[in-house]
Amino acid sequence: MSALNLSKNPIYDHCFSQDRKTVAITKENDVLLFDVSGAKPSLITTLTHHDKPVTAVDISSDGKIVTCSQDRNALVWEPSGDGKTYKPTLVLLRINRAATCARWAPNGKKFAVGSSDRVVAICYYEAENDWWISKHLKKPLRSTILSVDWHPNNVLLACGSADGHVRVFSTYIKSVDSKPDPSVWGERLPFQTLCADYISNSGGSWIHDVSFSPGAEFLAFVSHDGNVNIVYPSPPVGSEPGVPAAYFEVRTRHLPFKSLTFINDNKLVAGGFDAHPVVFEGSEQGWQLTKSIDDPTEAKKHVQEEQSAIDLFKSMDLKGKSGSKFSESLPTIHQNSITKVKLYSPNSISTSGNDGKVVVFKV
Amino acid sequence: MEDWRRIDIDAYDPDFTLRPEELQPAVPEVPTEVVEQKVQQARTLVSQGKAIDALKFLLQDPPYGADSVAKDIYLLQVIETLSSVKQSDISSTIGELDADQQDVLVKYLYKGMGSGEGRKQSGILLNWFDKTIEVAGEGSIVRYLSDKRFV
Repeated sequence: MSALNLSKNPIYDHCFSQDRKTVAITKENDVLLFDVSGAKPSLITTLTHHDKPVTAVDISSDGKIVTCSQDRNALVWEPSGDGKTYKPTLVLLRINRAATCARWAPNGKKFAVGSSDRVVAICYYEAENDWWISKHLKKPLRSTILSVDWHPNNVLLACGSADGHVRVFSTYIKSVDSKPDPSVWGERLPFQTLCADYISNSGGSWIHDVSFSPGAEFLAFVSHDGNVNIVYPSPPVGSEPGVPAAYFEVRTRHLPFKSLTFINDNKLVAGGFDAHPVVFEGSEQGWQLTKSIDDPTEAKKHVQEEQSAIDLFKSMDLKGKSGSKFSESLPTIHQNSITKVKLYSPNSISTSGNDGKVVVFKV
Repeated sequence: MEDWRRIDIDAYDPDFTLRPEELQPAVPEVPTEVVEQKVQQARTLVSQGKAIDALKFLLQDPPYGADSVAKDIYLLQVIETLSSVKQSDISSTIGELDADQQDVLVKYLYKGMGSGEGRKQSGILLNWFDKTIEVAGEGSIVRYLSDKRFV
C-alpha cells in the first residue's frame, strides 16, 4: 500500500501508463504527469491548454493521452521523441456543454467522451485532414453521461447517465473497425445500435461509474443510492434491447460509490464517498460485499497528532470534547472521497481522491 | 446582472425533452380501499399486542401508487405502530426486518418527521431513526434520498 501525495487540489481522474512508471492526474485546468518509478514522485511535465477544470484523463496502450474538460473540448496529447513534451491536437467534439468523462478504446484507435450535452462523442483519427473527428451517439440519451467503459472488442461501449439508465451501444465505424464477432450483446451492430438498457427498480439514481467484466459477459455499475449493481444480459430480440437475464442489486451500509473496477470475473472493487475501497465477490448466482480495504473501523488512527494546550482548548470550544481522542484526520488513508478506482496490476488497484492523493492498494 | 447561475438553460434548448414525470418509475396504482384494508389489518395486529408483526406487514409492500390521502392514512398507522413498540424492543425489532423493510422504514420516518402528526411524536421517531441507522448504516439514508418511489 503506497500513498502518493501529488496535489493540494482534488484529483478528479488519474491514469497510470502501461509500464506503471508514469501517472497522470488532473489538477484544476491542467494535467500533471509524474514519474513514479523512483522513491519520490517527480514532476515530468504539465499539460496546459484547457481553460476550465479538466474532468478526465486517460492514457492509451501506445502512450497517447486524452484529456477532456468543462470547456467543452477534448485534446489528444502525443508524446514527442524525448518523452518529456507532448503535442496537443484539438478534437472536434461538437458539444455545447461540459465534457464529463473520456476513455480510450483498448486498441487506442478510438476514444469516447461523455458530456452533459446528452451525447457520447466517439472520436477517431482521420488521416486525410490530420485531425480527430467525432460521431455522436444521441438516441435515446436524454441526460448527462457520467461514465463510459469499452468492451474489449473496441466496438461496444457502456455508458451510465444521470437519469439512472445504463446503456450499451455499438460504436462501429467502418473506416476504423473490423467487424466484431457476435456476442451476448448482439450480432449485427451498426453504429448507434442500442444493445442493452438497464435501470434499477427504485427508478434509477445517478450512475457514477460502469464497467464491463473482464470477460465482457456482463457489467456492473455503481449508483448514487449506495448500491452496486451487477447485470447479466440476454441477447437482444430484433431491434429491441435485451432484458437482463439476471440483475443483482447489492445493498450496502456505505455512502455512494463513485467508481469501480473488476479484478476478475468474480471480484470487483468499488470506492467512493466513504474514502476506502470495498470488495465485492460473486457469480451468476449472486453477489455480496465481502470485505473493506483500509477499513476505518479496524484501522488505528494513521496520524496521532500531538496535542498542544491551544489545540485542547480549541477542541473543547468547538466540539465540546476534551481532546485526547480528537483528531482532524480520518482513520483511512484517503482523507476525502475517492474519485476513481482503476486496476493497477492483477491483484492491486489504484485510487485517486479529493484529498489530492493517489494510492495503490493490494486486493 | 441577473444571477446567471439560476437561469434554466434547458428551457432555451429546443432539443431538451426530458420531463420530470418521465423519471418516475411505473408503480401499480393502489385503490384507497386496499390501503384502508391493510391499515385495518395492522390495527388488529397491534391491538393483539403483535406490534412487530404489524410493522413488518406495513413495511412489506408500501402503497407507492396510492393517492396522497390514502398515503397519509397509511403513514398514521405506521407511526401508531412504531409508538406501540416498547423502547427497549426497538433495536431488536429493526434487526428482525429485512433490508427492504429497513429502507422503507427510513422513508416513513422521514415522512413522519415532516408531517403534523409526526411532529407530536418526534421523540419516538428520532429514537427509531437513530436505531435504524445504527443497524442499516448511512446507505439507507442515501437510498431514501435517491429513491423515486415515494411513500
